Amino acid sequence: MANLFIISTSPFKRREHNMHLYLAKENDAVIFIQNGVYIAQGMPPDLKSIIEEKKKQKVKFYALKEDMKARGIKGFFGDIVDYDGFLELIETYDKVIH
Amino acid sequence: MKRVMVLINAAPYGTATPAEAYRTVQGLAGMGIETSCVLIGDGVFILKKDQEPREIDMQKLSDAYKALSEFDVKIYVCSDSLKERGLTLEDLEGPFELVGCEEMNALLDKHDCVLTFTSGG
Repeated sequence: MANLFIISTSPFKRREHNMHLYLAKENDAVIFIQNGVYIAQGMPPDLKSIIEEKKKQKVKFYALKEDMKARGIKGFFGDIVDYDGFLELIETYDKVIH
Repeated sequence: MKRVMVLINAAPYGTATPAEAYRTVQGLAGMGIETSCVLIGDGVFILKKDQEPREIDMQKLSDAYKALSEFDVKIYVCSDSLKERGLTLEDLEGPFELVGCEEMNALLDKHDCVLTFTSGG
């Protein structure tokens, strides 16, 4: 069973990050949407080390293209997907956890 | 029938989130839906002993959550969140099961749907 976690808040607000990243395991994925995409611009150092750790554990990271463009954010440490790609992810994973 | 897990990552009494989560759990269980409740992050404070919310004119949430067992709702508490906050088993009350990260993932797999209640406060 693989889960898709959705994070929609700023990495500095950190409303969802701790819990979602704690639960994300191998083959799971995390997608950043809405203000969540600001993570591509920068994040607190401790959050960065958690993300690095999760990457090593083969957790996949995605960001939503439309939300990045809307905010003028470029470059992301994972894959960038558009709305259609996001829908495909939702269909692919067993569960979506927001 | 779907099995629902309600993940609660919010402390009493700063926001209405833990109370709303409680209402949701009670509603689901009342409809006969198999429901589990996971207290994670600041959510672990929900079962903290010695709550006296009358001081701030609030209802006692730990009592409400404890009563969920009457609806066959199982409560799980994240052991890592507990440790992070300097709490031990003795600091909590009510029927619950302590779970670590791996057990939590196994639990997630056992449920069909996950609802999350988080708050910034």
